[in-house]
Amino acid sequence: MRKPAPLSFGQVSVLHAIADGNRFGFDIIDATGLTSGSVYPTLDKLETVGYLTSRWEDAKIARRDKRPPRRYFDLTAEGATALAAALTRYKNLKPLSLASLRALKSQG
Amino acid sequence: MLKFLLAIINAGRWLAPPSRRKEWRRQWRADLAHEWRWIEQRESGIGARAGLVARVAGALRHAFWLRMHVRRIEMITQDIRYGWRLMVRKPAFALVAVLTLGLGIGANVTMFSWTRIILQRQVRGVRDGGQLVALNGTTRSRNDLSVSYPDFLDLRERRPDSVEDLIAFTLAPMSLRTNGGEPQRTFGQLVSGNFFSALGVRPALGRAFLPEEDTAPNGHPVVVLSDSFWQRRFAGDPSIVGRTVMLNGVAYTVIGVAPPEFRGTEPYLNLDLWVPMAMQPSVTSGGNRLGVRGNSWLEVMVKLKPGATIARAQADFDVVARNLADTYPDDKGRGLKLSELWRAPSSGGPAIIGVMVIQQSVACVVLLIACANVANLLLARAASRQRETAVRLTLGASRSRLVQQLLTESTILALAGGLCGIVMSYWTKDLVRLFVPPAPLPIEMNPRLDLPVVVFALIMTGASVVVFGLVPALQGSMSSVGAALKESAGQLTASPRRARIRQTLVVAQVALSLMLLVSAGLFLRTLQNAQALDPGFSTRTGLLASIDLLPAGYDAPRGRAFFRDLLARVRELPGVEAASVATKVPLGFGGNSDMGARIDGYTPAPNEEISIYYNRVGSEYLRTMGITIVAGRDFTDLDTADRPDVVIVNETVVRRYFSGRDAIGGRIRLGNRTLEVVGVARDGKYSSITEVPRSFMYMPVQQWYRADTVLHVKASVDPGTLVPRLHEVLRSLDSNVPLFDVRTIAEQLSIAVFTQRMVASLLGAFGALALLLATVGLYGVIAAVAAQRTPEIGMRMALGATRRDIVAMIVGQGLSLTLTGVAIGLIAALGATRLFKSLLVGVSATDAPSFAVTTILLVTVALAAAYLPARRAARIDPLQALRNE
Repeated sequence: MRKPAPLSFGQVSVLHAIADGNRFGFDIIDATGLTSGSVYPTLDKLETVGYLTSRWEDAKIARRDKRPPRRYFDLTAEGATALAAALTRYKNLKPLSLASLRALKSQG
Repeated sequence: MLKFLLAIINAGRWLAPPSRRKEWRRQWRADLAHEWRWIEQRESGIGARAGLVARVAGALRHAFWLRMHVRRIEMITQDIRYGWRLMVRKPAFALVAVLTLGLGIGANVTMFSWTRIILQRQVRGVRDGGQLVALNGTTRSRNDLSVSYPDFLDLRERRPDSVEDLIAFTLAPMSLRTNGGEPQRTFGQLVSGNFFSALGVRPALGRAFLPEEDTAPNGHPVVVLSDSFWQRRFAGDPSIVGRTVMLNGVAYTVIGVAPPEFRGTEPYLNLDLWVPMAMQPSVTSGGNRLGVRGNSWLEVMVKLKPGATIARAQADFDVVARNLADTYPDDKGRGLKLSELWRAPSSGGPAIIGVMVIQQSVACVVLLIACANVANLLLARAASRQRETAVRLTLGASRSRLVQQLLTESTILALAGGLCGIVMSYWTKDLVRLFVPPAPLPIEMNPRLDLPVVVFALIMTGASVVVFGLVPALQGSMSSVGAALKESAGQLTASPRRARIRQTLVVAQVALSLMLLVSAGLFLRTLQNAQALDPGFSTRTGLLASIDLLPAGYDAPRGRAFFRDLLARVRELPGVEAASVATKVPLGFGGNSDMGARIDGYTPAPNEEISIYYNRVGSEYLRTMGITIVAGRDFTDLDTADRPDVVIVNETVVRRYFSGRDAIGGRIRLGNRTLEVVGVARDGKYSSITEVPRSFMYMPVQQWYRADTVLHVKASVDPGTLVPRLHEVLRSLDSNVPLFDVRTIAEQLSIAVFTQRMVASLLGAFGALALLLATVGLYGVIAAVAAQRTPEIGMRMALGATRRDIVAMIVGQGLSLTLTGVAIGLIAALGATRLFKSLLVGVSATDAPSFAVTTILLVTVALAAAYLPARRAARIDPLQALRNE
């Protein structure tokens, strides 16, 4: 499967949210603050490139809770690697003070 | 409210692509239901519920995204599956198309794998081989000269900054012997002491040469063996280092074995061993040449520094050459020329590159014809699929979608064709060996199907999809919906436009094939002419066999005596009519030597160098070879070293330098020796059958001794029966002198027309292939036309046309297509044959008979191809045909 070029911020947020223990669509929306219209396609996309796997919830549990089984997502090993790499990338961004940013803004 | 949201999801599922619809609905229903319960449990306010609506909007966006995203992949897999099914359903169609493309692509791949051997003339197994370039000496008229050893040493010392190092080497056949075994002929190189270190070759065993081992002449008899020779001769014995072997009668110490990937620096040769240049006097005959600046005999390679360009190094060497010319009189008027290895004179030069270009372009033409054929097949199929296309268009398929599908089908065909081509190429690539001249050298030509060749195959495949797939795809998607649906299945006819395209394709095929056939015809004539050319000697039954006295330790006086005794004994053998020796065989591939001369009574024009090619021969040479003596006499056993120097010249020498005078008794001065002309021989061909008449002279080998000669025997019996006798004679004279490279004169003559034979057979094969493909194409089109005109034919027959009229009508249509193609093809051929004028012998590029014969051949075959469907059409039962109307 073709691996995409560096992950977008949205994709990183979604991977991060899943790594953080959010495994259902709406939980991920809540955790990332992104809209459903971008989270769900991102989930599908990440699954096609192999960073995520999805499966349907065990039907027994769902029946006990009297609701249909949901689809939930897990990080693959490759997904974990990609997430770690992306986080390192973000960490390497040199911290700037807000004051200096404001100064830049006023100049511009 | 949940119900309302779920209803939206239910309705929205139609947005999602079919394959993901169920899953999408299930996921969103579950997630919404779950969220709803959670909201209810927490008794959240209206804001949370409104948020759900926004999320449902997101669901619809998700569905739409899926549709766009999945569609692409699905469409392609669908197309592939559909295309595959079509192929399987009509295996005959697929087979013909794939085989046709396979032939075209295979021809290209095979030719490319051959061309690569030439283009890839790099030295394998060395460090930074890409930085190696060839260096040659130049004069006003030549740029392919060798370099003398003193010049090499100076060049190395004065090498410019752009150059890392220079190496010198020359091919040296040597006779090897171990512990009293039979002598064995080996091919090695005499190399400068820095050879291995400059090339970055580290011996797999032992060591390479030390700098001091290349100083004193004959001072350090050391040898490095090649891996293959070490395996072959010594079975890979690891204790070989330190052992002694006899090379040309001198004891050498084996100091190392080269790594397997390094085979030396001679193009296409797999060498056996390397010895230091300082050993030259004992390796090659002709005395010590190491100190003679005027004697050029070395090939030189230059290793550029990283980043340095050939152009810069050339500029630097121009300066060096001027310096040398100022310093040494021998170097006056000499220049230096750098060239990429594949262009270097030692690689075969422009002639072989010309042959390669012809090969590759001819293969491309064959592929074009193959593509035209497949395009034709596809167009024919498009006609039968008109209804399908129309239905799909009516149902809303876009034309671009249809084009994409048709192109996918073409790509499947092409890929199968490409694969087939690679397989065919795998079978045919080694045919290159048929074209290797039968020279007595360890020639190695191993075309490989490696990555670049496979990439080339893929490029050709891709290109052919564009050539054969695009037009039918565009055309196929353009059927007129209404017309196609209205007509009954039996009457689906090709649109006039499609018929026109198919006819154009056939015309193009005919034109291209004719071009190839004409070229093939010209080269066949060339081969015939070359074979019929008079080489200047009439002996056809005889033997040539090489002898080298140097390894056996002969000096000149003993050598002269040996040749005298040898010839006396050989002439006594039954079946031998005449025998002699010569240092050069007639029409040998090796270049002939020339010598600067002065001729009494002839004043050269200013700047004129008199240079005469020569051969050193034994007594009765002219008689042995059947060369007519125009005046004077042949050499006899009396022309010995202690007698006055004599020479026999050819008619060209007489014409040029003795015009109006009697050449016999004339004097030619070579250096400080004066030769008296005692005979005039008829002009002949000396190194190539196509050469222009050149000045040539024969000198007695007794007076100009050389240790390595070739025994020439004229036989009155089957030459093969003489071979054992010759070996016997030699053994009885000296068991240390082997006879090698025994071949008949007929074999030698076949080498002479080698290039012509190679091009003629390649073009002949490709021409035949092209003709076959074009015939198939023409047959297909005429058959389709005949089928399409079935009702018309029925009508004509009902109205009184005879079968003969019908046949004439259909064949006439084929003939008009053919003749159009022929007209275009003849014009194209006139342009194309001009390009290889220089390779033709005794036939002009516009040779009328060649054009006429090939045209007649093509038209005849085309008529046959048109006749078959015509006859079928004429057998139509008019009633049947009209009833179907």
